[in-house]
Amino acid sequence: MERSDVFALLKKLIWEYLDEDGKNSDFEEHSNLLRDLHINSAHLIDLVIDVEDRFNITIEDALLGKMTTVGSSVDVILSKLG
Amino acid sequence: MKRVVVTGLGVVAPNGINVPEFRKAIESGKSGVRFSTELELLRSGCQVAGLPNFESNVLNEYFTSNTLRNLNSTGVQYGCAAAIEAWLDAGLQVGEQVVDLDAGCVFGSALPDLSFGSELISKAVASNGARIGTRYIEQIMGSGTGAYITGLLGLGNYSVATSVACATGTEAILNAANRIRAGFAKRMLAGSNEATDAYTWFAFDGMGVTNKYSNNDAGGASMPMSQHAKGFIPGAGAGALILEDLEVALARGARIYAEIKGGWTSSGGGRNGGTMTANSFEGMVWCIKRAMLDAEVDPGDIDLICGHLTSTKGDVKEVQAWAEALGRRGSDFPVINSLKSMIGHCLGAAGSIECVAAVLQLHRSFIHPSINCQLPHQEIIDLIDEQRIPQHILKRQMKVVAKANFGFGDVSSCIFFSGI
Repeated sequence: MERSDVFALLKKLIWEYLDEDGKNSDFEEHSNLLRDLHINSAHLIDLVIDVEDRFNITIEDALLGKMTTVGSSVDVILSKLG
Repeated sequence: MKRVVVTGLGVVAPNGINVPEFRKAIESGKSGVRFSTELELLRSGCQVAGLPNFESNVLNEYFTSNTLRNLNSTGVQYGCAAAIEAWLDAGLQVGEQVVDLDAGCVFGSALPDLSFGSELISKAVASNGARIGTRYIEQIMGSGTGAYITGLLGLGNYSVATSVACATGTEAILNAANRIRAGFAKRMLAGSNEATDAYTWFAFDGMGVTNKYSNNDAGGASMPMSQHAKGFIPGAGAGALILEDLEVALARGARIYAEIKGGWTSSGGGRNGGTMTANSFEGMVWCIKRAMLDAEVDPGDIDLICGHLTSTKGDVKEVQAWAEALGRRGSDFPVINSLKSMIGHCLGAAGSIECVAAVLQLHRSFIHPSINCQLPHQEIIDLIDEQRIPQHILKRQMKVVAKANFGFGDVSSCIFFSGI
């Protein structure tokens, strides 16, 4: 799967977690999930579960800390997809 | 002490999922008791229940799609819907950006939503250590509904969840009213909720306190004060009231439904016949008397008693307690009705839904029928005139309406509403 494909699929998943401010923000590789997109930190785990289901991967707890931006999340997904 | 008035109403009830629908239903004596396939699956003896005909999409306008996703506890859904309706009914805005430190919330429930809890348990057992998501605790915790409401409306003054068994709703309203009376808050959202939860109802069924003999006659199954009463019918829903300092309500030109004159919540202390499941007669009488004292209500001023009256053997004792506390009998006894005849016993939500009905009756000058009581219990008509139990709607201007609830743990709560 190409990086652009992962980015597009991830964007769809993230979109469900955005409030109006988040939806009106720029959605870029460097966008921070909490600071820029205003995702509730408690819901990051739900997003990770959605990512695991959508890409059929398992993301270990140790990798969660790396998923801070859209781009770093794409990196984690790509590493799992091999 | 400040005077407290009711300026907004909201309800999700088995026979009406908003106030206009509910008012029409109670005026006409429409039952919301239906056959429950969930109780049938559990092979419960009682297989009918008061089931709100509720669609959660009424919340779509007020919560984000993410919040609504996995908002699966029906109790939380009902509570939020009733609270939002009451808030809007009071002419207030949803979505204010600033916290209102003069406005607070008391929202109670009697029991956990075991149906929602069973979803968690099933998922946890099947997870094999995998993540199960973050949305369970906020819907299971006792203050969950209140947390959704205060977060939506920006209520900063006070936010608590109370639980007093079947007296929960009435106590929550009194609790909130007393906060305004004391000058600690200017506006309170008060109410309670109970989930559609066949597991809890099944547990009541196992105690032998529900009616197992009317599964083919759902609408006739709940029969408070009747000679034929065979047990209560469980139900679900939520009620909410907006309470305000009279001066604040007048200053903003709010519509005023009623004044809360006062009331009392107490326990029989598990003495004098009071047990986990039965109220002591003395405890009930004392609560009503103490409530009248607090509200400065004379027994002779009471036009209507909206009773707890569950369709059990407790109904006789309750009517006897009212007669004793008020010193009124026969044709001198106030008119008495039971909303549970139409909606069953909504447990923690009973008090708040029934207070909404009490306020509507006072404000709109009517008394709803107490259905399924064509033949009142002999011990009741030995004490009060049979005509005091209305079979049909009565049109009547009223001075004071009494509302009480009694519950497991020997608890009592009694409140008085009047015009201003």
